Amino acid sequence: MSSKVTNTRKIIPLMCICMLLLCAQCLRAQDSTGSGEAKLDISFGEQDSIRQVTAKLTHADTAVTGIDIHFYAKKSFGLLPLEGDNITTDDNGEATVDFPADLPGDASGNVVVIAKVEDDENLGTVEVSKTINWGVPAKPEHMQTRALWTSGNNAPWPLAITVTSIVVVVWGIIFYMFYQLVRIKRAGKYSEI
Amino acid sequence: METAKMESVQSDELLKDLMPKKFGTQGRLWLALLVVVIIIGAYAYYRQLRNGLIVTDMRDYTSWGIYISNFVFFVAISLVGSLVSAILKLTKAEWRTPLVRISEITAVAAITFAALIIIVDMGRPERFWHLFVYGRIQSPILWDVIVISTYFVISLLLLYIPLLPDIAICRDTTPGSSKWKKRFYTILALNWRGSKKQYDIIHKCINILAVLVIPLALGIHTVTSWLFATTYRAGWDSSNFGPYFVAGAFQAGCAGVIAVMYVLRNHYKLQKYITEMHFSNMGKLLVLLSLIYLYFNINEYLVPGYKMKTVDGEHLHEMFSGRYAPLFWSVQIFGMILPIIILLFRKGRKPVPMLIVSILVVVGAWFKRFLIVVPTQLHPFVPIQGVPESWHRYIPTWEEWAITSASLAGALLIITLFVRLFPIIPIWETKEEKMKINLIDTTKQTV
Repeated sequence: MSSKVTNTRKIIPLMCICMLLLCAQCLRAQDSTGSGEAKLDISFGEQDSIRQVTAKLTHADTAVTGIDIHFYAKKSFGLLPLEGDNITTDDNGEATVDFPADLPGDASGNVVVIAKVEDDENLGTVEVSKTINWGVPAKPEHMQTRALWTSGNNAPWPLAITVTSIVVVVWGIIFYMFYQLVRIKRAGKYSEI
Repeated sequence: METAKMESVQSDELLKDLMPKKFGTQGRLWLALLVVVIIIGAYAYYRQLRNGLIVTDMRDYTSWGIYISNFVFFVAISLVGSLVSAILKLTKAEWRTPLVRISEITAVAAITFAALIIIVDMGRPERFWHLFVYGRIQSPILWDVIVISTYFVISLLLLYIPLLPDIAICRDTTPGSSKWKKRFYTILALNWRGSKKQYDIIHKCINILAVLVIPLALGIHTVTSWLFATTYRAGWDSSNFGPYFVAGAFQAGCAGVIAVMYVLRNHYKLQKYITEMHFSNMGKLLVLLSLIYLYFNINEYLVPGYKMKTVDGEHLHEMFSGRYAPLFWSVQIFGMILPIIILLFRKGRKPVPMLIVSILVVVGAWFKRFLIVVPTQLHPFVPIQGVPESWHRYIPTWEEWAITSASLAGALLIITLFVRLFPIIPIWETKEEKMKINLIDTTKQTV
């Protein structure tokens, strides 16, 4: 019985040390596959009147070649992939895609462009984003039209008038009922006198 | 002279029979049961407030669970106020008199908890006022908020105004020693003295409210149906939904009142006032409403069932022979077809069979709302993928059941307390009717 207890006492610290070593190993492993020192930059330029997005990938100040860079434009919900033929980094560590001329932006035409190295064996995931004023400005006047899908202030007139009229008429009758209750109370006072 | 004496005797008898009575042992036990259920529900709601809606089983797909089913059920039950107070009044069904107040208090209790359960369903209930301040008039949700608040006020007025003469009787018969009770009745009675002018005002108000409440009652349940029907979802995307909901609501409300009137009749020995004729008439009404509802059900399920198009087909398959089939067929058979068969026979319209039938219809009506609300959400157009396994189904947690049960107990508590404080059968209207009958008898004898 006592030998069993002694064994357990020896095993528990041993297990704790093993666990600590395992955790440390996991952390190191994560570090080596994480973004580490890899660096991604985005630059914007034009060639033959075509707007282009270029991403440059470096690792310890050295260009990294042969890595696929994924380009996206940020949407309201999710990411829109920007496709191109030169998405693999060249000798300078650069990959390029054309920027679509008809991509909608916000009211000022701003678009958030994202470049990503996704789950690379050595570099892990590296990501960078930058805003550029290349989008087609969204026309805020669409939001000003009176429609079912706009804000409450821009409800269609027929709907607004119908709902308001019904509410006014029905609540008018309700307030008339409250007035009748006041009349009942008053009539009671007078008959008391 | 003889007539006056007879009227006085009748009046004493009415007061003795119909004035509110203290709870006996059964009454106290019933009250205690309701309070216990409410306390458990309050604790569950405290947990929901503290931890958030994560204590429920509602997730991304099933974001409307039994709270919303319960809300639709309560809205349905509340329609009975307009059925008995207004529709039967305007069709000059004189027999409705002893049932008017029962149906009105049932309507008020139901609409109160319909409004409360919506707040319970909100993840951030402290933002409830945002609905009024930031609400979009284009949204059926805002229409529902407007129509529910309005119907609540109208139902209260329909209950309160005809109650005034009876509150005055309570005021005048309450002994001075019961100070608080006397004060309570005095405030509520609004100086009621029973003058001709006061009666004229009451009759005018009842007539106006009876006309007003009918479109409003149709509106409240139609708008509630639009919460579903205006969305493009399998099972909800139907132009049949408005009348389908209204028909179901009248059926459920009618059954609810039958159950309440049976219990009150037996407990307070009101057999003289709520007779077998009342049960028979309510039974005929219920069978008619059930047949109308059956007709809408056939339209609602048979037409899409004939086509079985894409997601609609999957949804209906789940209902007809899938995971919801036992519940679906139980609701259709026990909540609709069996009641229709029983009520078609004279013996089926006796009080006891009527109680059984009404309970079947009410329970069926609750689960029917569950079948309308929940399965649709588990059949989105884009298949459910890459989410935790538990999101594929919806099984309400104990907190949801406790809160829902508490809301049902709360509605019953309102009715129970009302019966304790006020006459559940209108004394003055019964008296007016008896006087009319006496007058007719006297005229016949003279002739």
